Amino acid sequence: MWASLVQGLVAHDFSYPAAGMLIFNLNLQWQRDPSKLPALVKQVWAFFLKYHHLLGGDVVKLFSQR
Amino acid sequence: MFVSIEKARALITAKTPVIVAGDEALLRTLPAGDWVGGTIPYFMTPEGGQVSRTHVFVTEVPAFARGVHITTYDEQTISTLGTDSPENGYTILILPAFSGLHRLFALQAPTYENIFFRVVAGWISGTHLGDVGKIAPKVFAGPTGEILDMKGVAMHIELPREYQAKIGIVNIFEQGDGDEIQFPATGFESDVCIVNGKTTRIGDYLGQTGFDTRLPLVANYNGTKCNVSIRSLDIPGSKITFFAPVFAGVKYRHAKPMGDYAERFLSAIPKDIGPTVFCCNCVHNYLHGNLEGRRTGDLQGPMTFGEIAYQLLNQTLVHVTLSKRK
Repeated sequence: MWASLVQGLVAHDFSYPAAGMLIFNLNLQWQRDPSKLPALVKQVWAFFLKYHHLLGGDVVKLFSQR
Repeated sequence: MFVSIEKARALITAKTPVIVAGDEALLRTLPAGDWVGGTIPYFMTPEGGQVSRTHVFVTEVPAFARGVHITTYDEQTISTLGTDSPENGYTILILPAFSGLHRLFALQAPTYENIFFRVVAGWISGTHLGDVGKIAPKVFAGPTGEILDMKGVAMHIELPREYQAKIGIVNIFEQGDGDEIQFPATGFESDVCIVNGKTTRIGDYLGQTGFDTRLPLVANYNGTKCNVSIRSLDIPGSKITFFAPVFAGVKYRHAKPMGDYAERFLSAIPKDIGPTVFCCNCVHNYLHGNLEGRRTGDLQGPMTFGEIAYQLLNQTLVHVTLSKRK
C-alpha cells in the first residue's frame, strides 16, 4: 500500500492537507529517481505513524480499496 | 488584533512574544524584543478588509506556550526549517517577496526534511501595490533589530504536550473541466506548455482561449488544491509568468470560473474552528474579492504576497488553530 501511494498507483484525496501534499511531492521525487522508493516509502510510513490520529478515516478508505 | 503602533510597542515591552504585520515605517519604530514582523499595509480586521499605514496587525503567541525561538534564514540555511520547527508546536515563517530566498523556498520547500511532519505556516511580506518594484518588501527580526530584504525570519513556538496545532487552508478554486496543462520545466515562467499531451507555444494556446488571468492554475495534490497565480501574460511574446512555480510533471487545469468571487470567498471561510493562533490571506483575494470593508468572519490577519502552509501557496487563506489532545 505505502509503495503504491508513492508511485501514484492508488488515488486518494486525503482529509489532512499535509498528507496529500507529502505524498504528492514524494511521487514527484519518485518520478525523478525511482531508486529512492524505499526511502520515500519510509517517509510515508513515519508520517502515518505520527499522524494516525488524524488519518484514521483515510486509512480505512485506503485499505478498503485493496 | 488590529492595533495602534503604541499598543504593539507596549506588548513587546511587556515581553509578550508577537508576530507583527504592517507598514515598514511603523515596524521600524518598534523596540527590540521577542517579535518577528513583515511589511504589508493590507489587513483583514474586525471591521473588514482595509489598507492602513497607521495600524498594525499583531498576533500574540499563546501565554501557555512552552517556548519561543526566533531564527533568521538565508539561502544556505532555509533547508533546515522543518527540522528546526518544534516536534509539538508550530512555526510562523515570513519571507520577503521577490527575494532569491522567496524563489528558492517556492522551488525547494517540498523536499526539505520534515517539512510536512511539522506545522509550518507563514506568509510572504509585501508592499502597497503602488510600491511594487519601487520598495523592497522586508522582514524584521525583533531580538536583533535586523531589517531584512534578502533573508527570512521564523518564530518557532513550542506547545505543551496537551495542545496540538493544525493548519487549515481555504481555497475557493477548483480545477475546471478544460484542458490538462503541464509544463516541460519547473519554474516561475514558461513560453511553452503541454496541453493534453501536445507541446504548444503559450501564445498560440492562450491566445485562442480568452484566458482569465484572475483565475489561477490549479493542481490536485491528493485532495489539497494548490494554485499557481498568473503574474503576467504576454500573448504576442508567448510568455507567461507566475507568482509561484509550476512544477514539471504536475497536471494543472485552469480554475473553474465562478460567479461572484467575493460571495464565494466569504461563504468558504470556516466557522467555529477553535482558537486561531495565526491567519493570513492572499492580497489577490482582497483585490478580486473586493474585500475592502467586508468582514471575513472570525479570521483576521495580514493580506500577503503569498501564503505558506508547508510550502508556498497562492490565492488562499491559511490559518493555524489549536486543539487539546484527547
